[in-house]
Amino acid sequence: MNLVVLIADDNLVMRNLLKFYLGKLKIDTILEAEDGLEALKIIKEKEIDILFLDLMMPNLNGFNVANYVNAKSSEIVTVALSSDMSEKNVKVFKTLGVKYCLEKPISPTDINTVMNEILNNNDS
Amino acid sequence: TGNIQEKDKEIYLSIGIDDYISKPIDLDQLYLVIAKFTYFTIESIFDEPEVSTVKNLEYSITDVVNELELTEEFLKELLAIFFNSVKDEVVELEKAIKVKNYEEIYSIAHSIKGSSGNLRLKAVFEKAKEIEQHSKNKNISINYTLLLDELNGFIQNYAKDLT
Repeated sequence: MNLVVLIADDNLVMRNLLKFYLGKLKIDTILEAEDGLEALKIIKEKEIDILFLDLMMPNLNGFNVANYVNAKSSEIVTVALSSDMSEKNVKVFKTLGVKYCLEKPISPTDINTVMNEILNNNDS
Repeated sequence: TGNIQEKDKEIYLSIGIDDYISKPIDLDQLYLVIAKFTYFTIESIFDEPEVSTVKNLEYSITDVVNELELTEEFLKELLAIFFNSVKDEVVELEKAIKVKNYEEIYSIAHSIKGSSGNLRLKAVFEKAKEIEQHSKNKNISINYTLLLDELNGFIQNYAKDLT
């Protein structure tokens, strides 16, 4: 699939797990960022289609990154991830233009459902 | 005692010993005996988190492979990464506890919770969550060192079985 996905998460286990699921969907390019700042740099340099964004990261957190993406009115579809996906956090993410919020721990079904929705919306 | 026989029991009891437990110590038996002679009710002793989480130490590679739709090889790779990186996190957590840096305690516990949860290491996940929640509320009445020891115990236990 001709898509560029960026995974922003400080946890290596989480990044590898996501890469594994996205690999199954035959995503062309999967980029990784270990913190919010690195994520921002990559977003500025490259054309990202889908962003998997952890909330609690060093340097800049998920809200900071989502805020930047939102302000740039970019076409990036963001999927936020957190083990603390409280109503309040979901509300903040939604305000910042984040379309999908997933609670950790994630399941393969979560990822497949979200990816299906994103890909179907892209087609139409 | 390590070797108790029916006739020994009677001797012990007849010379004024109140009760006995056999070695190796069975935790349930120990609690039962304590409960018998103290004001603790059995229920309250069995409510201790140690007891409730011990059961969760079981880990089935096959079940997790199926649930997460991974290959066994890849799951083992992820577990190795986890056990390798969590060592440093435990050291950092110990330091943070020493200087009572609650934000740091929260941040590290949160991270351990996230990765252990995704690998379905339930006992580690639950204990990290407990530490995370106490430190989030800056709860100073908690013995964090004890919680860290328990967390570390679970990690060692899983690591022994899975690596």
